Amino acid sequence: MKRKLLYAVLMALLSSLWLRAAELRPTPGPAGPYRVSANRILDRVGRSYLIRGTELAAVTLDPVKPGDLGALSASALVTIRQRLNMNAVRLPFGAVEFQENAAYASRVAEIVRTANRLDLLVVLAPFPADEPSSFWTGLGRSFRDNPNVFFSAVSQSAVSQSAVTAIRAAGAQQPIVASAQSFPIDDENVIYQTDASYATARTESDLADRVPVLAVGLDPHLSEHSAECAAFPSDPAAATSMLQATLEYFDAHGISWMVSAFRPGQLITDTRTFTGTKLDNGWTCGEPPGAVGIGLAVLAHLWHSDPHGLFTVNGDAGNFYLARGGRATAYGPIMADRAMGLRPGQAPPTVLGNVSVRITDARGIARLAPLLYTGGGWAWLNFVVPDDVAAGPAEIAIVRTDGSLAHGRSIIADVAPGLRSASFDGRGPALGLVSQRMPDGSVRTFEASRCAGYDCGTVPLPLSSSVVTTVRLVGSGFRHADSKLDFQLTVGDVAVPVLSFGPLLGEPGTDQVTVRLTDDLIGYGETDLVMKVRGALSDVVRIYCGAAR
Amino acid sequence: MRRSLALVALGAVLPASAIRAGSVKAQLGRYLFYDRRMSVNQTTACATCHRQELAFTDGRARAQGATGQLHPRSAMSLVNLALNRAFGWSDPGIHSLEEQALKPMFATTPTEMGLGAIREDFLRLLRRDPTYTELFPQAFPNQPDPYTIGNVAQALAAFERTIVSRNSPWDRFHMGDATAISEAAKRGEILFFLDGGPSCFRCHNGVNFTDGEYHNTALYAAYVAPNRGLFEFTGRSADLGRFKTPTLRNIDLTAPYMHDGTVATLEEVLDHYAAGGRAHENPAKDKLMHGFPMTPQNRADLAAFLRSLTDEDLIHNRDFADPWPK
Repeated sequence: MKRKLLYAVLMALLSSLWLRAAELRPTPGPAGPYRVSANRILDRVGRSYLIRGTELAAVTLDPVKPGDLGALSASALVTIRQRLNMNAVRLPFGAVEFQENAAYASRVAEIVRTANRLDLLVVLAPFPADEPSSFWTGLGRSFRDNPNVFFSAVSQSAVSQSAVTAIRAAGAQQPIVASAQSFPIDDENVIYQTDASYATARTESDLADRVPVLAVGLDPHLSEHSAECAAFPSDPAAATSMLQATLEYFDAHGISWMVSAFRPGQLITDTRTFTGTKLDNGWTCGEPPGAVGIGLAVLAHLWHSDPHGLFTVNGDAGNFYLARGGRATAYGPIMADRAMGLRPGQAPPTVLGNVSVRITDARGIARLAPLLYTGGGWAWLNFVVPDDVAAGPAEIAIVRTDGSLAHGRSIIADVAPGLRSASFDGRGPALGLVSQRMPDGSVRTFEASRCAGYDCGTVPLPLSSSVVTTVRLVGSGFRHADSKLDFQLTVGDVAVPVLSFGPLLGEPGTDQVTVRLTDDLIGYGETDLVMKVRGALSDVVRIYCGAAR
Repeated sequence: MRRSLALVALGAVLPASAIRAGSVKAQLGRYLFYDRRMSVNQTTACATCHRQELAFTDGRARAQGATGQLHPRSAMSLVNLALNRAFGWSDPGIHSLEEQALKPMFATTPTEMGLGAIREDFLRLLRRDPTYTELFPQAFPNQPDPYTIGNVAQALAAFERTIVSRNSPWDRFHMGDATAISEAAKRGEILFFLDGGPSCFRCHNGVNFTDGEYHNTALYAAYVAPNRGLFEFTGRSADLGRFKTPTLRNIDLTAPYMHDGTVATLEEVLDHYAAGGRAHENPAKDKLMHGFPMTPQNRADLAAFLRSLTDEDLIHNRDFADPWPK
């Protein structure tokens, strides 16, 4: 009898763990072509799709500042997808520049391609939107074959109908976002956009009962003496609650949303670390709020997490998928008494200072993880996910020697690839060893990146058709791939062949994948390198394919 | 998602002797702790400077002895002393509570209790007081004459070890009660423990919020005798102005602050640390006194966190209260 009771309690606990962890999953990525049916947006297999996204910085041809990755970089886009768990971006670009400057139009197309490759749908948002029909037809023609873009024809004036007609005239059938004030528009594939506001009562559901609705905005405009700022509670917790309640309202009513903008001072503090802004430091309406913003609160909503809780992420890719045998990083209330690392040659212990990491897997089995480093206080901790944990939802707990603990959720996967950057933050120059076999048979090796302190840069790789160049990239989370066929690696737009992969000896939790840089990359310049393993996306790092042209 | 606690944090690390409140020795110590007859003019007990309702401090900037002399430093809290390696603001040479208990009894510069002048009278009192004649033989069995100053110190230390503070709202928060502290206190906790931010935990760490070390917090450009901190005992210039990190448990009850009580409020303490101290030219200033940017919201949140360390059970626990009939 007792055993049955114990079993029932155990199963209830496991079910509860499973259900809670089941919430922790990526928003569905783009799977167009899309169509509108009643008040829903349906993907190519008829699944309902809700936009969860943010606006990007407007497209420019300005060079990226040194030490910056740029607001429109692939690293920014993969951060939006993997870290913020969004599935769409709104891309503002100048309509005039797009028509008159081929380089500009090419840049827009490149950003769209990159975003799509990184599992983001793109809402094309030319400004001003009251361009003549010929512009919209031209834009429609440029993107009509891309199933993972929507068009935004939102304008203050009533041009939406003519813009929609013009886009359709080009043969483009993707959904078009139009102003709710234009409702109804004579087209089957229209999404109606409303401006979300804190200062007014929520009414979006009235329209959302009939047609798909996209709510935009939701930045509290803290630097302005505005009704929006005034309506935003001055207490950070109350403000976070209000934001979350608004997002939950959208979730409950099947309303798509795009909040704020992925720009410094809005969702992020800068375009190097892409750190999410938070509300904790407080603000006064009308005064520059510094790095205060809703970034962390939005992230917490999308991951069903407490903004002040423990987050455990892939040690290289930075998302919530941890690989068996891979590196992971927990951050938040670690509360170690002090920072501690390993001594040279020391095997990773399961207790470091006053903390341990306990992983309870989907089977309910708890294991202590080997630890690599812990910071002191509210900090981060690096550990290795034991190889024998079960794939599926898991609870990660920081257990301290005084008996207290902090815990959060993650998903354990067989494969969750991450590429290591030279700066160890999952972005910027790749960490890798280049090997070149020269025509005379000699072999030359060197690092793919170099650092001076925290300032890291790529090393130009002198590619040539007479030289065989391979790069052994460092990362984690892909040792359990079945074969090289599981890998898709692209450098820029070029797919590169995988020669080998597996654990990197002597480096706990670290893997290597060796690729050959093909002749297509000669003179390609510094570009993005990204990997998919069994369809799972890595972070984006940079590599410099230089030389001979 | 929120944290929880499998064990009572402090209880897991305190020695068993610390929580054996019912021992006869501790009971005896409690009577002694509240006995004003221990002072030269029968006005001052240990409890005079260590009041339960103030987390066993006295609310004064500097403690006052039985004869009215001011001590150069403030009375320290007595909570969780069982965790301490050293006692007092700056004396590294006292390693046990028994040794520490003797100090206020017999100190003359200044006079604290002045027991030295009435030592024999006090021992005679112990031998005839019915409470003590019952408790001393039980607490120190098999001793022909248990009425000694050494045993008084042992009993006092035994009582002091029972004074445990471990049930603040912050403790309950870490036991899994997500509503035990305010959202402001939760934000303050993050700031407190944030490396690269205020980094308060660098000195105030562990379950008792102290590293047990000595630091110069740049309170003064020049520290003068007899308040030169660790220097008074070591004579090393590097030790000028270094005082022991006090516990932060119940800190809201223990104002005024710093070793000499010259900072009146918690908010002013926070301002002091945010500014990196008030005497930047101090050559012995601790390198951890780096200062940090602090918004009004941060200040309020840090103060809320510190106030969440107040243990109402401690100050209302009858086991620590005056046992003598009124």
